[in-house]
Amino acid sequence: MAIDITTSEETLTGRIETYWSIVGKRLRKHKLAMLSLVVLILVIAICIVGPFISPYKFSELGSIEEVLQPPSLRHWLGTDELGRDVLTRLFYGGRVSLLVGFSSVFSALIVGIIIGAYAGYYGGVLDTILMRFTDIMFSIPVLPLLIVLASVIPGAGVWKIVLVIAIFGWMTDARIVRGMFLSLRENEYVEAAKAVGVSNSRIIWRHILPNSLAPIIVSATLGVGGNIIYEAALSYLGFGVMPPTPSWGNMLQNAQYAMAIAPWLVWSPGLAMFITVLAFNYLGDGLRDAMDPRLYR
Amino acid sequence: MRNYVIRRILQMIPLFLGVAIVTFAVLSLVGDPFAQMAINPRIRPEDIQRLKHAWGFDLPWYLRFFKWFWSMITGNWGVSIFAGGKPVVEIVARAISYTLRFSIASLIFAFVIAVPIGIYSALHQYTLFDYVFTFFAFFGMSMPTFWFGFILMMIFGLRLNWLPIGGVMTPGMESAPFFARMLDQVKYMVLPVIVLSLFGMGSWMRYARSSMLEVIRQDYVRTARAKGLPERTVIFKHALRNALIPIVTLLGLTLPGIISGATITETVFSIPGMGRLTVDAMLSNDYPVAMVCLLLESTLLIVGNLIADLLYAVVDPRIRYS
Repeated sequence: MAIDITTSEETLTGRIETYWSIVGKRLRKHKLAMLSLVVLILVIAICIVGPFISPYKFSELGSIEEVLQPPSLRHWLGTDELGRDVLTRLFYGGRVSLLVGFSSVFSALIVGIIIGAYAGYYGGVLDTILMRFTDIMFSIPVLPLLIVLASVIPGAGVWKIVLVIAIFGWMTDARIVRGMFLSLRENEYVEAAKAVGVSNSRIIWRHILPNSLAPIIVSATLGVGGNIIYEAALSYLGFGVMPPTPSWGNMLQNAQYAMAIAPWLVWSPGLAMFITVLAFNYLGDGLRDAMDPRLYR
Repeated sequence: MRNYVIRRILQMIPLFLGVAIVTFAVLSLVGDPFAQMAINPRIRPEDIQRLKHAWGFDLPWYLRFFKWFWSMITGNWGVSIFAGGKPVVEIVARAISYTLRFSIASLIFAFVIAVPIGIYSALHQYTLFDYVFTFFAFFGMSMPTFWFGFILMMIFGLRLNWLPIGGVMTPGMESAPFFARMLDQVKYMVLPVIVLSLFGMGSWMRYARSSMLEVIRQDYVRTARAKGLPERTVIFKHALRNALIPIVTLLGLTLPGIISGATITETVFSIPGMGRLTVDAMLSNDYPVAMVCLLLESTLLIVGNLIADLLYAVVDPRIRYS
């Protein structure tokens, strides 16, 4: 008897389609998004595994004969102006660029979610103050101030760049989350939770936030690609990740001056970055289509 | 409508003040711009004192802020600390004149190409044309601008030797006849304009496409078809006009970029425009120039947003102003 009951429940739960299982199903139909996902997993795997396989170290200087060597069997992607193996630096640079991309989006997201959630949930004066602050941050020319912050904050670490990008990157998330909270807080389940005496913070984090995840995930996916380019731009201008630590951006910094004699220095980091960012953009677009509530069911 | 405009303009004032405070605070982090001067034996201490007084560096920070803010809004922008003490107005105007020619050219270039393609893509959704240009749009949005600049330089500058790889004109061409001088400067514009328009082209294309897709699903388009209007009338008279509304209003948001320039592209191609000027002034501690640049750029951002909102309210009768 007992066995019968469990099996019937299992068949029942097997039939129920949750929002996320539908999203997953629709995403799997989006060929370009799935291809992008595969590409991204490959890129991440290669960047993690690559340095262990490579016979060189990213900061290992080559002898004078190995300076600015074109691609060969010894150095698949050539060497740079200090005789370092470009492929090895590309692996490490990928680690750094992806780390900066993911963690800056994550940090900005936390700030954006907190500000947007409180503004949207409580409304009133708190909303006005937080949103006017967001408006102010939106109306500031970002790049010059990013550069000043990057040059003023001491240290040369990767985390400084993450911090600097996150400081100016949370505003869009805050606006999205606020918009979601403004409409979701009117739902019956919120009223029901309030009626049985659930605390406000529990309603915010446990009841409303999980329901507003879809647009946040889309914006975060697109954001990783965007921030990889941001880091690269900062590094190109000389304010990003500091050498000898490689990133795809700072590998291109010196490439401009050597492009006439060493074009391979330009091609590989840029191509790696372009493919990665393109994959993030396609994946984000696929997620947006899959999660679009207007097409839901 | 009038009340809406007035209210929106009044709302700008606290926003503007807030932006000024944040800008001021960040720039204060850079430190005392006159500290370096004290080391230079050729500058007399009295002169430094005089400059410090003029810029309010002998006052507490809040008084200095108001002094600075007042001189900004009254147009009393002063002279550069470096650059031979040139008036800030002159330096900024020169940089803007360079930035404008590149930004306007690339805006027109991007707009004229991207919007028709986006519209056409929407009308032929899921055809080969649509896929190809959707890919192109993603290509443009995913491309790191400076790397794209490098590639163009390598191909058209170094390999083919067709176009110059940086600068704004050939040295010595200043005294050339008008037509030759123009032609020379246009050559210098080709590569930067392509780089500058690539991202814009991608996003305009996507935007035009989704705007048109939204419109052709509307009931009034179905009605127009149902009553037997020729397809051309349906598309151009009924759908296109409505699809262009959001696109035109988006132009307001591009205004700040037209004047404040693109730091990265200007660096890649050695263009002495606003983007480069702002960053250089901030890094060399040229306080008067940096402050004017930053405040000008934030003003443009605020005004650009306002224009976009107002345009939207003007062209879309469904929006109520109350």
